[in-house]
Amino acid sequence: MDNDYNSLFYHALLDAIQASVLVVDDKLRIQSANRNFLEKGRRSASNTLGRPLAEVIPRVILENTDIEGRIQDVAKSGIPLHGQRMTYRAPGIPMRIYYYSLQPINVAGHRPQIMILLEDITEQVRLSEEVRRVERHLASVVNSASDMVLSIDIEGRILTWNLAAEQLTGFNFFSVKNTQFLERCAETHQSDVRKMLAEMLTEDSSRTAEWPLIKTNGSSILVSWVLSPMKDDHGKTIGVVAVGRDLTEQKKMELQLRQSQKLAALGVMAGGIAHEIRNPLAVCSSAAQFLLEDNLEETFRKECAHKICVGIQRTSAIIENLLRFARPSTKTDMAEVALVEVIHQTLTLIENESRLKKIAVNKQFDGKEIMVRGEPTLLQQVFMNLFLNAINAMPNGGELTIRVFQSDTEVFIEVSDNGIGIPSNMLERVFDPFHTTSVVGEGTGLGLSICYSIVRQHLGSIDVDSSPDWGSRFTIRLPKL
Amino acid sequence: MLPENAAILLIDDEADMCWAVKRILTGKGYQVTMVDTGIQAMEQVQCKHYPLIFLDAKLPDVEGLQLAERIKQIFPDTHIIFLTGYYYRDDPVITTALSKGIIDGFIAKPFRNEDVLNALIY
Repeated sequence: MDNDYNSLFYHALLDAIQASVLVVDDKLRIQSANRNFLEKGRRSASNTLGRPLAEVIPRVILENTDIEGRIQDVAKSGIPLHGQRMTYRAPGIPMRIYYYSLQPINVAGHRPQIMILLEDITEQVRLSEEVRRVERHLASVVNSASDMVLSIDIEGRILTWNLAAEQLTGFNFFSVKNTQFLERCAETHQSDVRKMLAEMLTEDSSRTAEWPLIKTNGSSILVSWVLSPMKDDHGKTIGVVAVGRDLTEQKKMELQLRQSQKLAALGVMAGGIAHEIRNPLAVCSSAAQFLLEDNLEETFRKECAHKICVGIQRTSAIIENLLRFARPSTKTDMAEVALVEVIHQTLTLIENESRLKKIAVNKQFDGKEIMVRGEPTLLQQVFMNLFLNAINAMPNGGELTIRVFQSDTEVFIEVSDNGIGIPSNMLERVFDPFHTTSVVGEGTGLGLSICYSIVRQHLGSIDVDSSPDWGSRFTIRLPKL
Repeated sequence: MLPENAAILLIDDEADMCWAVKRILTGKGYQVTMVDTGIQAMEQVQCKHYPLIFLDAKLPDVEGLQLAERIKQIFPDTHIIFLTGYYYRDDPVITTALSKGIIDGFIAKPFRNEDVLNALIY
């Protein structure tokens, strides 16, 4: 009864496993075959049991693997054979890969038997090759990137470091592997790096930063970083992926651009200075030459001398303005200034001019006095420049509107006209020295650049909006006291 | 040499500059008309023949060279002298304008008064 039960249990167990199981005797005759083997080989127990192994297993396998010799070795020695790989390729059938082991069964009073365990691992091999192929592909993508791609664990240690990182820093992967990323960054930024990496472990969002990386020669390169949290299958942050771009080239180009902009500005300024200064110089020169002539009328002689004086004053004023623009006053006697009062004072100075040019002045103040920190004469200079520009922009009369209002932190002063407007291509250069000359047709073209300089000195800003359709609007923002 | 009594047009928006040039020319008996914008200049050349024009580089409404080109298109025989402080003698802008015939002479400000008179000989 027990033997029957054991036999049934044994066969049920063999039939249940996915591998093929054969038992042969020392004459290589099949003693037992499980269901999996029979199904795979499309055989029945009756045409398998008792038959020689050579009839049951394809000849090509027997020829290529010497499995028969090995079975006999195991039968003789009683030592099991583990983990043999066997590849089987028959015409018209895809290649199959098997893994087999041989287990001797020695029972006293019986001929030795050998159990052959045959496992089809074709699919596992294919999958692991696929995984390796994908891994190789990903590694080559990361290594081919011109940007640095690194991964860092939650302790801040470097896990991966691609070819671009090796090339840019000079450190190869093995010299930085498992070292602190922090140590690769310039000392000046290490506290920023530490703080951001710590924040990234608790927050989900990506971050950007500019941190210099140290090179093997001790110098550093400025790198723009995009840092993203690296997650495991459960969504838990297990590190950070950092993608960095070397900014050296970009910074160099920015510098070149700034240099060329400076040169362009210098070109404009040189032209402006030449035009503005040589005109009064030419008047002085001609008048002086007239004075060298004999028999001059007294009135003409005086007129010449007067023109010379005016010309010298004009030249000097241009140079003075230029100096003011280049080296703004650093006077620290800034005081509390009643802004509306300064505007009113400035308006009285242009009253006559605006009446002559048929210009209506429209004041929109909210009544209350507004205090700012500043230098009244400088602020007056700014308003004067803006008012005169507005008047010059309305040769056929018009309306000059001055609006003062405030937010919680800032005071706004808007000066608008409904004049000819500024062409859109000139708008962004309107505060550059000498750029306004040909538009306004009068003055030195330094007025708005000085306004800009003074407003900046007052920690404020000045903007312009303009269109030939409705005129121009200058907006000054000053910090509120 | 420009005949005496010939009409000369002076285009410059600097009043004092016009005062000086006018005085140099009227002293030699020439009739000088002064205008200070490109628009006025075009009006003048269309209603009266000016064999000689003195022209500034920067005018409130137009660049001097643009104006010179426009005048030359209509009146190619008009002699235009560029009188300006904006450029220097070998300035590429000036050499190009001279070689293209847009202007016929260049005087840099400040100048010798006789330079203005020498420009009348061509």
